[in-house]
Amino acid sequence: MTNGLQTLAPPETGAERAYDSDTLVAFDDVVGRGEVLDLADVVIVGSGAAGATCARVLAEAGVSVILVEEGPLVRTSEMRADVYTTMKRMWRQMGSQLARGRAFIPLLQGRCVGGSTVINSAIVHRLPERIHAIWAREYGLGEALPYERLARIWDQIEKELHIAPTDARIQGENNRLLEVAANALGFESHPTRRNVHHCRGSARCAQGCPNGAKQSMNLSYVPRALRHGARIYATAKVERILAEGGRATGVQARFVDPSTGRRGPNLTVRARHAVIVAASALQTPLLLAKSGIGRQSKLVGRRLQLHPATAVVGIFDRPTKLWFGATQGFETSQFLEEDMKIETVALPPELAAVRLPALGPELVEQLASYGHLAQWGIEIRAKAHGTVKPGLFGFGPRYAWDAADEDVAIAKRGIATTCEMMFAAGARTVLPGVYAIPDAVSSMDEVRKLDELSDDPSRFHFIAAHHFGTAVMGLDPATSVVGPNGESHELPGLYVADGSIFPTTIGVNPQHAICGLAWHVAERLAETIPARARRPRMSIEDRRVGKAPSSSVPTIEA
Amino acid sequence: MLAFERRALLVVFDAILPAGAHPQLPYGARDVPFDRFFEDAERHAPFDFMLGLRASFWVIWLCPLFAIGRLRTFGGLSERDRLRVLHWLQARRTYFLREVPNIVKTVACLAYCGLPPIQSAIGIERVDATPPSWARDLRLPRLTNEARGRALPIESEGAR
Repeated sequence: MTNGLQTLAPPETGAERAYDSDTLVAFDDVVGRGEVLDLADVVIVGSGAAGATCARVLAEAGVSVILVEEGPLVRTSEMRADVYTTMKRMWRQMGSQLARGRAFIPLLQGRCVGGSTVINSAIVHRLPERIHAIWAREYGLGEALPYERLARIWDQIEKELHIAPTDARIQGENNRLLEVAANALGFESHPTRRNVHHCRGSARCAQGCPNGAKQSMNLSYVPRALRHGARIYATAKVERILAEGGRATGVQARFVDPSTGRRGPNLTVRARHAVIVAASALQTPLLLAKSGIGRQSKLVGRRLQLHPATAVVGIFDRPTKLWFGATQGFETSQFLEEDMKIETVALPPELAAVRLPALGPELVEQLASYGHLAQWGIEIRAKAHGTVKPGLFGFGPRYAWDAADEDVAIAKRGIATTCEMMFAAGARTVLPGVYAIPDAVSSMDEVRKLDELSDDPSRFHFIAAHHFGTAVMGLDPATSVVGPNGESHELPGLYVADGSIFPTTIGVNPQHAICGLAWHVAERLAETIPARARRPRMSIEDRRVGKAPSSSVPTIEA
Repeated sequence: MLAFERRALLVVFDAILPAGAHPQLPYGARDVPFDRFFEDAERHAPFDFMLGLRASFWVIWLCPLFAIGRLRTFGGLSERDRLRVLHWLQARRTYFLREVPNIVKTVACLAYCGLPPIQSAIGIERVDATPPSWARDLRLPRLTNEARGRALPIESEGAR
C-alpha cells in the first residue's frame, strides 16, 4: 500500500455486529405475516444524523427506543464503487428528487439505515457562532438554546465520532492542490474536519465507505443505541403519526421491499412518552402534513431553505488521481462571511462525467483524462425560501425552490474565485460549468464574462444536499412549528429534531449542527421522563436469553 | 420503455460515447450491455427518472429538422450530424431544451463509467472488481499497450 497507509490499523466494522435478528427487523423478516405491533418509551422516525443521535442519547439514559427507518441496512461489505448501484440502494429516488424553479435542482438524500450520513463526505462543522447569534436575535433562541450548551454537546460528539482534521497521509492531490491555490492567493484554508477513523482515502464517500472508516450513523450511533437496548425497524415507511387525547402516541408504518417497492405488512409502534420525527427537512413536513399537523402555524413545509452547490473542474498536466484521497479533505473558510464555502470534492467518474461539458469523442477524451482532473465545489448559504408539499393524485411530493438574485450573484463570485484558484494551482484548462460562458477557459479574462451575465439560476448546475427550515423552531406558536426543545406547539408528545427545525441556513455542512440540536432535543426529552417510568435497560445478551426468537416481532396474524 | 425506444436510445448513447475515440479509452456505449441496464433501471428507477429519460430521448430523436434542417430522425443522420444535433440542443436559450442532452448523457455515463473495465481504462487504480448486478457476467479484456489505439469489444452475453 502506498502513502504510508500500511501503518494504519484495519478498519473497525465490528459495530455492525449490533445488527442481529433481535435488534433489526426488515421487510424480509415479516413478509407474508400480519400486522406488526411494538411498544417503546420513545419511537423515532428516521435513523440519520438526527434520529440516530436521539436514539444514542435516549437509549443510554435508560429510555427504551424504537427507530423506524424507511431504507434498508447496507453493510460495509455490500458497499460498491459504482454509483448506479449506490443510488438504487441508498439514495432517495435514485437522486431524481428535484426542486422546481427556473432551474431543476437535484435534492440529494440518503435513504438507508444511517440516512445521508452514509453517503456524505463526513464533513464536520459546528453551527457558526454568527448564525447562532442570528437565531438568538431574530428567533429568540439565545436563552433556550445557549451556545455553551451546544458546544458541550459537540465536544462529546467529536470525541465519540473520532472527529479530526483530514490526515495528511490521505490528503491526495485534489486536496493538496486546493491548499496550494489558497496559499498562493493568501486565502485562509485548512484540512477539513471529518468523522472518520482509519480513513484509507479511497475517495468513495458518496458510495458509502468500503472500509467502514466513516463514522456514519449506521456504524456509530445506531449500533451504540442498539447495544443499549434500542431496536430498529428498517424498510418501514412511516405513513402517519398517531395521536390520542391530544397527544402523540405512536406511528403507523408500512414495510416496503426496498428493491421492488412491493408492500408488506403494516407496522404500528406505540410510544409511551414521545414520538420524535427526524426524517429530514424534506420528508418531515410531508409526514406532519399527512398527519394533520401544522394547521395552526401554517408553516409546515414552508420556508424550505437550501445550500445550493456547484462545482468547477480543472484539467492539470500533472496527475491528480482523483481516486485517491479524502473525498472532501480540504477547504477554505475565507468566504464564510460572504455566504459561500469553497471546498474540494472528488467525484467518482460517473458523476464527474456529468460535469464535463463535452459530448462525443471530446467527452471520451475528457473522461480519459479523469486522472488529471481536479474538482472543487462552491456551497452557497442561500437566502431564498421554497416549499415542500405532498403530491397530488398519487404523484410524489412537490418541492419548489428558486434561487434569489443575491444567491446567484454569490454563485457567480464563487465560480470566478474557484476558477482563479484553479489557475493559481496550475490548471491548464478550467471548466466553469456555466451556460453562456465558454465550456473550457484558459485565462481569467474569459471567466470575467460571468460579471456580464444576468442573475438567472438556470445558467448554473446546482445540486442541494443540505436542506432546512420546513418545521421551524421558535418561541411563538404563531411563527414556529416547534418550541426550543423540539416539541410541537400543536401536539404535545411530538418532537422534531432534524434540519427542518433550523430557522435559517447555516453556511457550512450541517451534519454536526443537526446532531448537536438533536442531542439537545433528546436530552431535554429524557429529563421529562421520570426514571421510574423508563423501561430497564437490557443488553442484547439479556434480550437473547430473556426472549424466544419469535417474540422479537409481536404480530397479529392476518 | 418500448423495444424501439431502447434500440434508438442506444444510437443516442453511441453518439455521446463513441467507441474508438481515444486510445486510452477505446470502449464506447455500443460495447456496454445497455439492454440489461434498461431492464434493471425499469425495475428500480422511480417514475420521474424514466419519464425524464424517455422525454429527453424523444426530443433528441425528433429534432433534427429544427436543429440542422434535415427531415430525418436522429437515427437517420450521419455520426457527424448526430453530434451537431446534440450540440445544437446544448446551446439553446431554453433551459429545458439545453438540459436534454445532459439528461441522456447522465444516464449513459451512469452505466458506462460504473463498469470496472471502463474505470480501469481511465486509469483508476484499485478498481472495485465487482460489476453492477446488470453487468454481472461481463468479462474484462485486459487493456494492453498493443490494444490501445483500437476499439476493444467488452465480452458479455448482452453486448452486441
